[in-house]
Amino acid sequence: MEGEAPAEILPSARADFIGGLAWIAFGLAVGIGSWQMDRLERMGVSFFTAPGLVPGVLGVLMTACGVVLAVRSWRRGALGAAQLPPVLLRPEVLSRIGVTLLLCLGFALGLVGRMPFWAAAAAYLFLQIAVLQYSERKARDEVARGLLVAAVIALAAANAIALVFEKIFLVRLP
Amino acid sequence: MLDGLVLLGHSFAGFMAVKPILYTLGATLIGVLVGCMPGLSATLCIALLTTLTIKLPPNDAILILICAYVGTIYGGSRTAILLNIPGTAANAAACLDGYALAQKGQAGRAMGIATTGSVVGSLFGVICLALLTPTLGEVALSFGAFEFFWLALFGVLMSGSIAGTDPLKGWMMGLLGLFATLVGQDGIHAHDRFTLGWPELSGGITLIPALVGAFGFCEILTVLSEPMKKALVNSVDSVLPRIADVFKYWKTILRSGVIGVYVGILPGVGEDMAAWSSYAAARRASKEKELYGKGSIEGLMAAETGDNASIPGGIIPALALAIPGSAPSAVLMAAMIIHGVQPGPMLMVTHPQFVYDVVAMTTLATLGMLFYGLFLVRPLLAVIRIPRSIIMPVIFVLCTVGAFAIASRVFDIWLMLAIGIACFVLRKCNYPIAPFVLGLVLGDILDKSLRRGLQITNGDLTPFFTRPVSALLAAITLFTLAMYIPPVNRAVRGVWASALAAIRGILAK
Repeated sequence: MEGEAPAEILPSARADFIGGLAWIAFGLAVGIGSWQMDRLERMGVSFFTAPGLVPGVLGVLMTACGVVLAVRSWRRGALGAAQLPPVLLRPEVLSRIGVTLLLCLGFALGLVGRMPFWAAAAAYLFLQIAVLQYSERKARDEVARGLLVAAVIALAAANAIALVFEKIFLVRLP
Repeated sequence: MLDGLVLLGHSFAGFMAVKPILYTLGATLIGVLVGCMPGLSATLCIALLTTLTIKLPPNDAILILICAYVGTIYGGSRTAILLNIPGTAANAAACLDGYALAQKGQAGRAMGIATTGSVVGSLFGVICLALLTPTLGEVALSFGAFEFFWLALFGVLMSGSIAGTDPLKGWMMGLLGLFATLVGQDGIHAHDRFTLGWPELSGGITLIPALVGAFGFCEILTVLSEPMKKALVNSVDSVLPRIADVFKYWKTILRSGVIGVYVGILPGVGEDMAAWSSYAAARRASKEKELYGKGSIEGLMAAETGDNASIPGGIIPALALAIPGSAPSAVLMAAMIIHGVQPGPMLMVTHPQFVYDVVAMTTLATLGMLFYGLFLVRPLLAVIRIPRSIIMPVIFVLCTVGAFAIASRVFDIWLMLAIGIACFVLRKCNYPIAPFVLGLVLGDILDKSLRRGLQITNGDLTPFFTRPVSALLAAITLFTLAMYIPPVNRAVRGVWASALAAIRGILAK
């Protein structure tokens, strides 16, 4: 259902090893949580329909898969010396993701619900578009024009979304 | 049979009005536009439109979703041909020959071929949808908890095996999806599981916000984490399909249609696998193998026929078994449930008309696709030129609204954000997202079926392996899994090769 990842962005064996350990920890937590879950025996519930049965099995399977992943990456040299840094930890990717996350979370957790939706959406859209286009606009020496374009697009898009959802399709907005 | 035709006639008559036709044209257009934008998937499009159409009557809402689904898969071929970037994963196979044709100055012809293949494939799938859904539904009436357990497990296993490049990671994501669906009150005793004391989690992880996070916010972060690139669009010649191409490659079209529907029906296997399988089969049987990858009309036709035939194919098990064939059909199934239609074996008993309504809707969507394929190619290409720096922030606002709108809960926005960030990190570590979605959809069926089955047999696992259909499904599931264990795989291949050699030896005598 999804395309293949290019070889240069595949995670390193060490990243997979750490991932395997994380899966083992998560699987064990799920397994232990399931084992400790109320089995409702006082209500006459059979062991085989206990709420923790299926999550428990899944916890065991996730742990097993985590072990296989960790062992496989260990065999591929996860504990060796030279490893490429994970894609996510490369500085240029981190900075782009950091700014995007800051703006997205700021909008969804900070602005939404605290002001009219169209205003929150317009503020977010303006900032996000302006930030994403800044370097390109700066290179062409048209930062002011870029800000104006971002403002127009932000206002138009925010109002269009609010209008379509709230007025045409009668869907409540946050 | 006659009853079916009468119901089908009623369905078509019901949609022959101005409003459904307008919905068809509007939704197919939205689908084509979304499909034209690389990164935006059919799953996201259907999830967002589900929230937009939540207040509409069920038939109108489902019509819009099906048209958007068909339109998205078709629209994805545009960027595959013009930019060598598949608009959706389903169009990856179309890149090989579509882009090669575009580079030869035949982009319009390639789009005409894609339109023809898509329309014919979709219509072939619609016929199968009309014929197979009632039959499969009737067969499934005899299914019990044992069979549904294996079907759900098989769906997650297949999705994990096929999505991405690492089956182990695919299965892990499937397990994660199955686990995520178990959070909240369990379906038998209403006991809270893994809610961590949050009352909002008692209702479980709602599917639409989860999908919007997994396919929307995750994609936004992925696209914005990469440098922005400008689209360079090839010039376009005549887009009118050539009837001669259809007649010349009729065998390829028929074969690809059959493969597309078959792959679509398989639980958890999506449109992209249908396209690749059809492409590979066409290449094997072709008299012009050397043209494949260099601008083969036949190759492009096979890929586009296969992926579009798999759309109705994927809807067949979703309607008849409540086991979706792909991630987009999983969202479609969820939308049906939201609108009060419960897919599954009882659907033909409780809502027989609805099955034929879906057939009519898919036919209308196909006609809508043909309309845009013939008449609005050049204006639609303008959308490819819109910078991602504008599209992606707007999509994020839609994701926020989409997550909130289903239940009007701010908690669902938090859920969307959390799942989106988690899926982004996992995706960067090469974990595919589609099995997670299949797990989310099938988890409830798997959980209830396993526990009900065990309750019926008082803990005896034997019926899971001895009932005829159950035994067959168990054998397929376990064999599929075992083939990923290298020693087993080598042994099976060895036995197979020996058997073939023995047969050849006998025949030679």
